[in-house]
Amino acid sequence: MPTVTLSGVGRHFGALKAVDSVDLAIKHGEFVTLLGPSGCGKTTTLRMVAGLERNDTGSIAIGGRMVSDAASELFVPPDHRKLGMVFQSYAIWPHMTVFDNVAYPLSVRHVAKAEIKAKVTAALKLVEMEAYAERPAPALSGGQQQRVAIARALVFEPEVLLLDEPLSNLDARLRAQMGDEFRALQRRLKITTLYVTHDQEEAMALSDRVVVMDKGKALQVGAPEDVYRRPASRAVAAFFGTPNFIEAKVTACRANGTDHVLTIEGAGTEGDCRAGDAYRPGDAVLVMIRPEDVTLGAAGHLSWAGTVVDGVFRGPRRTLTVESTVGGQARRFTVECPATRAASVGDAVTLSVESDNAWALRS
Amino acid sequence: MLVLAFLTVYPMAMLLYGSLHSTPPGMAGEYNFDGYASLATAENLQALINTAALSLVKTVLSLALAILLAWIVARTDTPGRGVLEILITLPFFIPPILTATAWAMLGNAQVGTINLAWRWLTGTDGTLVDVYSYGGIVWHMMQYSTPFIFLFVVDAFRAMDPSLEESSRMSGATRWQTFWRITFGLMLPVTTSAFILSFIRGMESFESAVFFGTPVGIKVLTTQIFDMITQRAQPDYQGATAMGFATMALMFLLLVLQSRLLRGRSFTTVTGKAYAPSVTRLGGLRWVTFSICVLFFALAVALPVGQLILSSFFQFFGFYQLDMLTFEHYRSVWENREFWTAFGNTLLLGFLGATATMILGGIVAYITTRTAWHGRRLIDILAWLPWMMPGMVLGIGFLWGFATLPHEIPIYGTLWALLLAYVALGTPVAVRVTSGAYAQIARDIEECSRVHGANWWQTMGRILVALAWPAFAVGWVLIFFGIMRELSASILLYVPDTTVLSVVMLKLWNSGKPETVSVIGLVMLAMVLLFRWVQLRFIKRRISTL
Amino acid sequence: MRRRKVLGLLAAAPAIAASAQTGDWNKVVEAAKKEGKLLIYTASIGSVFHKKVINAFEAKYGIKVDLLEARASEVRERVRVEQAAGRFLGDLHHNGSTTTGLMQRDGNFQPRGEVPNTRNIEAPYEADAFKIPAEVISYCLMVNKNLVKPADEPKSWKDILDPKWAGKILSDDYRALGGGAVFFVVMQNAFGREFHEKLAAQKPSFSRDLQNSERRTARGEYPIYLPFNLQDLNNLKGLPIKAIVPAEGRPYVRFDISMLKNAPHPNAACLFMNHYLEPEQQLVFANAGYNPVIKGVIEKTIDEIRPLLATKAMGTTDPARQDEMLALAKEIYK
Ligand SMILES: Nc1ncnc2c1ncn2[C@@H]1O[C@H](COP(=O)(O)OP(=O)(O)O)[C@@H](O)[C@H]1O
Ligand SMILES: [Mg+2]
Repeated sequence: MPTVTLSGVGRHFGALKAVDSVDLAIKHGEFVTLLGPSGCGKTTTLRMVAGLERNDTGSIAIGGRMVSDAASELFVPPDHRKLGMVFQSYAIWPHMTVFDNVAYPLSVRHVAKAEIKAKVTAALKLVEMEAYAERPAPALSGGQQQRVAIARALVFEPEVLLLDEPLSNLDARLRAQMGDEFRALQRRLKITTLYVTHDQEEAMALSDRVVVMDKGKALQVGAPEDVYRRPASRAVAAFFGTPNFIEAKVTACRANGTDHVLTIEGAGTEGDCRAGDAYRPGDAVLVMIRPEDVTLGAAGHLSWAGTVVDGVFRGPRRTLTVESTVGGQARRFTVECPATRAASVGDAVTLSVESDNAWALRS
Repeated sequence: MLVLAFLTVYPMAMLLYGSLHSTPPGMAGEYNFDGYASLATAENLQALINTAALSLVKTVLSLALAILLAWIVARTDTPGRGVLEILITLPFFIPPILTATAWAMLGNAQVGTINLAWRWLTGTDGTLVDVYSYGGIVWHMMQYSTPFIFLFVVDAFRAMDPSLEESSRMSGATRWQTFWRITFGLMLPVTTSAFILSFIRGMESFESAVFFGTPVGIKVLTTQIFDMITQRAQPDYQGATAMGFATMALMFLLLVLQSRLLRGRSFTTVTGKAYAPSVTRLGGLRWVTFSICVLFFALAVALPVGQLILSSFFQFFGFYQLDMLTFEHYRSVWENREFWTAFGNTLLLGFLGATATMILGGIVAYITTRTAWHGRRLIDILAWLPWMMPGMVLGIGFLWGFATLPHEIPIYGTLWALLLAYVALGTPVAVRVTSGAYAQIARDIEECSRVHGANWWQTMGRILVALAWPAFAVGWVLIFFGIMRELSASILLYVPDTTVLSVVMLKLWNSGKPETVSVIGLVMLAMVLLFRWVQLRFIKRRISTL
Repeated sequence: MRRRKVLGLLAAAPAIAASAQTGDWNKVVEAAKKEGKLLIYTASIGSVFHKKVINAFEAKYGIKVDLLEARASEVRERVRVEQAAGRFLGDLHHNGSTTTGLMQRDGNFQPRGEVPNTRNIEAPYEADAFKIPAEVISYCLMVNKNLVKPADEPKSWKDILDPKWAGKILSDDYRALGGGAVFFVVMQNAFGREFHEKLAAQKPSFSRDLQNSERRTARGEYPIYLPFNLQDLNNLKGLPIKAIVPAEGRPYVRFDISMLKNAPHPNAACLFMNHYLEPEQQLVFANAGYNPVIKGVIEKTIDEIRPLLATKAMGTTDPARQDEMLALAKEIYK
């Protein structure tokens, strides 16, 4: 079963801990994405799985086989890990044709000519590039190169597919299209995939699970919706969009299934919100409210009165900045609302949020 | 690594011993610094200044000229650039003594053809050029360094991703700014390497200085060393080796400077993204660039080579009378048994040596440019060593080194001795050429191959070498002809069975047969033409598929 | 091996060597043939005449001769290093008398044994227990016939001091080992420092590439070249030049053949030395422009060469004063 297991994997460059003790278990056929800001160690993690970089600590197993273990100095070189990989730059070999590029993983393993032909053709068909087989590789557009890179990564039927920001060089429309195509392909082939991106939307659209990384650490691992709606920390929450954080005090707490419902007060309002952990009354918390969950006007569980100080038109939506002053303290909220249902700068509005959409974090 | 150490450190250690010991290896003596102390004379200082100035001037001029020519040939639509590319590299492959002779006939102050023509044209009895001067030395050296640098940089120009230049033009830079800031800037590793190689070679150049400088009292370091070894009743090996090391120390500073300059920058121009080498359309200007190439060709190639071809059919160099027309020189080469033995040996050594050197150089360059291994700086320096030590001193190092090996190791007195010396001598060029090429290849292009199941050797062969192969081919040719020309070490290591072409040429020269030497020179030229032609055909084929 | 022991004895008692019998010589010839090979280190690079003499030797005795040619100091250093490393490869060593003398001092040779033809050696040349004189390079003047009218030809060495030759003399460098240095020493001994000071005032051009200098003179860059290796006439036949031996005579340099220490083929080596001193072989050199080292050869030389060879040997270098003389030359010729 092609699974990938990272336990305590770390790597540092000099004093910098590029990757710091990451644990991750990827199941067979699962699509897992490493997500995080640039420089957080995603590529390094991926490269350690690929065997292009050695891990200083921890161990990596692919398909149950230990491929790299810092403690016992075990290290299986990349060519023995049976992987497919798509590089950010595609790394299409410029001196070969499309066919030769795709055939390479087979030919270096001395597969018979006829079989190579069949498999390469199949792989190119998969990415709809069969017409380009004899093209010299550099004579392709970005999207075509990306397809070739994918075909090349798949042709050997690898146990695991690794992708490092494969869509980042494409324009927005192509990015969405290629992403969807790739997701469909991955589902169809049931191929275990580790994907790297810094784009949250891409990560959420494609992945079964997302690993949010920052400064070399895996902050949270979970399904896209979980990570988005129920972030484990402010850092994770802040990585997606521009959420509003409101400091508050817990006045009551009760369990609700796996979650907890907190009653909070402070910052000019009081009401209920949700939390992952149990809190004691008097605890300080930070309540995260996503801009799109704020409604204007209607009374909800948590509400604030304020004035619109800025508005940005974004086509279907409008982003407002609302200032609410309580007890001499000004607080700014980012609010997303339908473009038609908007207030103009200077209007007095009431902001309200459903309890379900307010998520408390330890402050 | 071991091989490299044996090839470079071992002979160097022998030389170091020689420089610190009152007598050469194998004789009783004592350790002292007399060798170094004896260097501090006004004459040597003058020689040092001369050497550095000559070399700097010729290197700067050659570099400028070579880059211009490389750009013209690789990146513009100048007519006939394919042929020009082969032709302008020819001077490099002519034995220097022959071009020196040819130039001496053309440019001597008394009856040089150029001056005679000038006097006839102007009706004065003035002298236009005198090759026995600083200018003559520089010009003669330039004929070698320009093609050398050209060969070094031309493929780098060709491999450049044009989008890098295009983005500069789009940012509002003029063509010249783009060339200077982007094209030239990206080629820094190659150009600085070529510059340093060429500068060092200039510091060690012997033929030009001895031929054109000695008659007018211009002394350089190598003539001083030559003096110490051959022109004294008791050869002063201690002084000569000490001077070798002193020179080496100076050149070392250059390397430090280069690595400062290049540190922490990336010069990747071959990426996995699409690009098609583009040529600049010059319009009417292309006839100007064409003229530049033709002019260089006429001056540096046609004149001396023409002289050689002409004189190979006459009884005497420079006496072109009909009754002196002869095929005698061709016949004497054809019938010279020793020539054929030497030719066979040299070809064998050339093929094996150039191939082995490129393999070694390719690996060393890989280690120094592509790995994070701790010893990589050390190997990098090791690979430079043979280049920094003047040839005639290094030759002695090889003699001392190989002769004093235990007799069970059959190197001394066999072809192995020559082969190993040639590999050591060629390694710096091989390493520079290949590391320049590697530096242009993006790392993920190589990693991608590893991940997809190719082992290190497969990756090396099918990706790196396959991409860098024009550089490999150029390096191979440079080294091959370096071997054909090498004399300093050869003459100290050959035995009658293993005689080589350079030794035969020396013999012919010393026995007063420069015409026969020209014939051999022409044979070598014909080989260059063949090699380069084959090579460029391959390059062209690749480019045309892009 | 046996022979080597005998040689050891010979070294200890040279008197015995002198009284060796003809019967012994036949034994040497036989032993030499059995050895069948010979390796000669020579500083005479590319000499055709050397080859001729060697070919005659090979034809006569069926002994194969290999030549290792390199420049004087290179040959010397190779011998030195090889011997220091216990590699005894070469049998004979052919080099100028200066280098040979220094190597003899350094102990690079072994006693050569009996060589019958040494009897014929003509003074001032002489053999010793280690070496025999081989041939003699004679130095004279060379003029370009197009530029120097017969009436203007120098008759004496002092004629080159005539102001009309100022700036018109091309010369081998006196400040470096070689023909130039020989010329310098001999003139110094004959005419004193004054000669050189006057010559220096003529501002001669220096070069070290003999063959090229000769050609330059032949092409008319300079009217006079000196010192001219007489044997180079062979390479210049047909060119407008003339060799002149001035009245005082010709400076010369002797080449010696010596036997290298622990020579692997000592008998063949000994035989070769003898062969070299045969009248026919010496005549080969003499006809080529070298002075022979045995009696009765000059008379048999070809007409164009004979008058040049039958001139006074003016003098040669003194290895002991070599460095002193080079220094003096540097001082006078700035
Ligand atoms: N070879 C290296 N040497 C030194 N530092 C490195 C190296 N590779 C990566 N780093 C550093 O490690 C950190 C993580 O890099 P990377 O994994 O590439 O981040 P990203 O998440 O953007 O892919 C960065 O700070 C980067 O500068
Ligand atoms: Mg990255």
